Formats: sequence, C-alpha cells, structure tokens
Amino acid sequence: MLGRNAAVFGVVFSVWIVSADEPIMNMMPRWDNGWGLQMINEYRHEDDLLLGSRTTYSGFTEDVHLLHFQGVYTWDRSIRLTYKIPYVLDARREMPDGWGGKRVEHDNGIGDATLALPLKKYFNLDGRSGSWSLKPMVRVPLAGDDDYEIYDSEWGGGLSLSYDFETPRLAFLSSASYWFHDNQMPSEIYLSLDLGYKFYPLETNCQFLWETDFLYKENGTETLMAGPALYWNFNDITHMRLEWKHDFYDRQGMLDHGNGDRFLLSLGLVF
Amino acid sequence: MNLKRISKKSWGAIMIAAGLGMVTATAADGDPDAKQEVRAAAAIKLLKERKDVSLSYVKGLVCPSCALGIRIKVSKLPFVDSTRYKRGVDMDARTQLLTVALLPGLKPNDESLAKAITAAGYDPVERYSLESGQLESHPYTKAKKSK
Repeated sequence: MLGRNAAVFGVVFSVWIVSADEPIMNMMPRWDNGWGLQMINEYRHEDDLLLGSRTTYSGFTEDVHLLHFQGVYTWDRSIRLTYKIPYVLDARREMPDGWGGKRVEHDNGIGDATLALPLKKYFNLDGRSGSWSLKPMVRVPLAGDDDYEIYDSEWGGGLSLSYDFETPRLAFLSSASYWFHDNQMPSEIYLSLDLGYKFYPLETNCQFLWETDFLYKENGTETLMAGPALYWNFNDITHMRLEWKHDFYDRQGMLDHGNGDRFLLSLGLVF
Repeated sequence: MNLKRISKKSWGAIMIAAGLGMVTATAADGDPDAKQEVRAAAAIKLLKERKDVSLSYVKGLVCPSCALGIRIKVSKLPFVDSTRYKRGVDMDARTQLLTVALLPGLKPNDESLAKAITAAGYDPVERYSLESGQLESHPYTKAKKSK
C-alpha cells in the first residue's frame, strides 16, 4: 500500500538549484552592452527514496543528466536580462511498483525556462568591489510529458536578493530566493552562501570556492548541500567552472529521492 | 509558507553559514595590499619601467575577470597601442592600477579614458605621472556615478 501511495505521490519533482556564484550570469558581464553565453553539463545521482528523514526505500536510485543553456545581456551595469533553458539528456529513476519490486521511469527533452531581470547596485571601494542585486524571475513552462517530470511544465514566479563582494584574494557571495508556482508544486526558499579564495597561476584567474545551499519547500522538504567548486578564466573570453555538491542533510516532505551528489561542468563565453 | 517547520538542524546550519559569512565580510574589509603607500610605490616602479603608458588608479579593480570590460572598452580608444600587453591594457588587482599602452607620439584623452572605465563598471580616481622622479596625481573628473 505504501508503495502504491509512494508512486502516486512521487510523480513530481526535482530540485531547482540556484547558486549565488554564477560567474557569467551574476559577476559578468559587468560592462555596458556586454553579453555572454554559458553551457552547463550537470549530472546528478541520488541513492535512496526518502520520506521525511527516513530512508523508505534504500537503493532506489535516480540518475539525471542535464544540459543547461544560458545567456545574459547587460544594457547598463545596473540592469541585465538572463535566460536559462535546461535540456534533460536522460533522467532515470527507480520507484516502488507496489508489489515489492522496482519500476523504472524515464524523462528527457526540454525543461521549463527561467527568465530573469537582475537589477544591480554596484559599489567600488579601495581594495573591494561588489554589488547588491534584486532579481525578479519568471518560470516559463516548456517541458513535455514523460513517465515522470524533472521539470513540471508550470508557470512560476520568483524573487531573489543577493549580496556579493570581492577583494584581490577573497570572494563572498550570498543570496536568498523565493519561488511560487502556478499549480501543484510547493513554494520554495533557497539560501546560498559561497566563500572563495582567488589565485592567479600563469597570468590566469582562478578561484577556489566552498559553496553551501539550503532548500526549503512548503511541503516540508529540506536539503542542505555543500561542496567545492573551481573557477578558471584563462583568457578574455572563456570561463570554466567545475563543481561538486553533496547532500549533507536531506528531508523529503513527500516521497522523493535524496542523499545524492551533483557534478557540474560549465563553459562560458563573454563578449 | 510556514518557516516554523524548518528543523532545528537546518536552522543551526543556516546560522553557522550566516556567521561564517559575516566573519568573512568583516575580515575582508580593506585589503592591506591596496593601501595608498603600496600603490604609490608600485606606480613609481611601473612608470620608471614602462614607456609610453598612461597609469591610473581605478577604484574597485580587484577582480581581473569582472574587469574584462575595462580591456574591451579601453582597447577601442584611438590612442591605445593594442599590440602591447593584452590588447594594450594591463591590470593589477592587488594595487588597482591600470596601465594603458599609448601609441607613439599620442597622448591619452583623460575624458574618454574615464568614460570607458566607467562604462566598464568601475570608478577612475586619478592618473599618475612622474615629474622629476616625484609621483604626481591628476584626478579624473567624475564621468558618471557607479550604479
């Protein structure tokens, strides 16, 4: 019975991660009439099916492989427009079939897009520069129907407030976001804190970061994930970023996969 | 949204993260490398070593990646020799000094240089020159306040 209910309740979801540290979308381009493109290759693996903090089905895994296509245009340093379109290359998850076994479900194709209008107030000090940002966001339903949905084809709206600064050696980035959705998805709060150390090997720019994200959904889901990231800008145009995040605490408000890891490799170009 | 439902563990983690952030923010307030005397010494050294350049102090120039816009905007100016340095521009994040290579026989136009730096998101403060071995500063008139 539990298995059948679990399958019914488990039709939704994904973790719609945002991160404060977005070199292309947030820190750059800072100049008037600048623009940039970014592609992120994301792989996510989750080990178990959770309900609350309890592992309800151990070894019921989920593997998601995504590509994110993103772009940004800066009119003036105080206003820019960004878009993010995810594409699910392959998503596979194991759910209880109600008879003591596993049912495998798949998803692929385009996901819901996010459009945002970051409004930024920069400050330049002696040895320090940073910004405050207010970012209204809209989620546009583009996803199709599959066995289950990584993106739920729903309208949504969000607002994000962030603060970041850098010195020649340190970087600090923090953000808080709130999302509400049109239909069945619960509203969500994201908190993000990134601390970075900058270094300059061979006349290139590198940054080592420790990133911490916390997600809370109205249905009681709580996920605390953290991990290292390495950013490398090796010429005026090209920027790379490698990131790994581990779920240090996972509590699911309804049956869903958890206790996982995320790996992201991004390549960005700015002009 | 009922925030009371967030567990004690998560509140604890949020508080620790916020505390860490505040400590970092406070500790990072003012970098000793960017003090005026350090910058002045670096400016004298650069002006002695480099010929046909314009040297400026640009407030906030602490992130070479974010400051790519300075290179994009400044390299297009007609007096810039884009064959030297990286497209005619060299930036030092530790001292916030901007070196612009000048074409032989040309002088920089301070107004257009200040405008280009401002359009890149930074605040030009002053240009330096050496007069009889002494560092002279020439403040820029404010082009446009940073937003």
